Amino acid sequence: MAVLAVAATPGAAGSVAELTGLVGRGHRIVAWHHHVRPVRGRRPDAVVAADVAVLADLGDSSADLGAPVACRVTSGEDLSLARSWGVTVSFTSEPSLRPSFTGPVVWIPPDGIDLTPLPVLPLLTRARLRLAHGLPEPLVLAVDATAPPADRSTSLALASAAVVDGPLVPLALALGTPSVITPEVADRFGLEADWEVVVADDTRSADRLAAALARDDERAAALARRARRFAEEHLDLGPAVTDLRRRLGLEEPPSLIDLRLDELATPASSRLRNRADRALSLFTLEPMP
Amino acid sequence: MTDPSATDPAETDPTATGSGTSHPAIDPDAVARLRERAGAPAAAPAPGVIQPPVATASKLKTKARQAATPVVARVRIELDRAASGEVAALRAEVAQLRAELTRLRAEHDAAIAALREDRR
Repeated sequence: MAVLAVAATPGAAGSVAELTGLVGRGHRIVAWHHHVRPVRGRRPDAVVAADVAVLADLGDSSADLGAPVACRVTSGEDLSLARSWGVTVSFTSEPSLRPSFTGPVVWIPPDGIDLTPLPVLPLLTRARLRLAHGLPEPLVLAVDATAPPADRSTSLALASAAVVDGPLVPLALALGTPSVITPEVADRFGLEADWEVVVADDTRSADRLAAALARDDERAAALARRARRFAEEHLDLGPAVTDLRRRLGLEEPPSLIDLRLDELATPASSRLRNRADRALSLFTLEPMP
Repeated sequence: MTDPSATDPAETDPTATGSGTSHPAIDPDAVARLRERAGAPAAAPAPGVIQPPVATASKLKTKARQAATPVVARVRIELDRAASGEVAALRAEVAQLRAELTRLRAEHDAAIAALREDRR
């Protein structure tokens, strides 16, 4: 298990907390100024820097630190500073920086979501779950971002159709929930009306459209399928996280078999993938979990 | 054209491995126990092998055992088959819980580390 340190100037750490949790999965995550810096000679295996300003605390350059560093950048100036310091990789969610990507820069989708623990819930599965839980059929809901996290995800997972609040749109798309949203939210995420979602101008028409959507299985299924595909193509943090993990030395590069299974879109915890892992583990000294 | 069976060492050399009870290292009782453990049906004696005379009670016992062995083996296989789905489901559930635990631990550790960095 490697040690991944988070380094930040005060107030900046929150911007990388979620990403660090994903990048450091399976490893020990510590605070640089709390765990590493006070002990002379202590060195982490990798560092996530929340901003360019904190790089000075890590050392004069990457050679001083002796560990790979991933640094968040928000401007072209940040990018130049990070490069001159010698970071292993920079990452950003700033769209204006995308055209200037040269060298090791990883794009983190803004409002991105980790799709790994969120398998899609097709309409038939939803209907069966509703039946099993004694829920009405159809189940049309308005899901509010102020609800507790468990309530939000449960509602979106079981609904026949839902009126979805802006911040919950990534989760709704990831779960394949037939959703009704406002035009502003659709614009913000780049969603096409009547393709991935249904767009309604006001609350009353949103409720009406959601009820109609819940009765139209064919349309709801098509929207759900495209919604999930949109989440996989535009919102999934998985590829960026894997890239960062590999560059920081927290994950082995993929084997040939893994690459072929990826090509076939084999899910992470599928039986086929598990069998391949088990078979491959015979040739390594790594113990299987 | 050569006959492939003529070159089979098991047929040409009675002491070769795999030629049945002829090898000194192979004990017939041990073979029977092994077969029983593996759930394979009892094998018929090879032609030409002379069976020693046995008492009637012992003979009946042997016959009963021979008759029961495939049944027991079948029951074992059926039980294994019936339980295998459940075992696989439980294993998958454990793997999912383990992954969820790892995810939550990383999430909490990252949140705590971020708080510490902010509060220094």
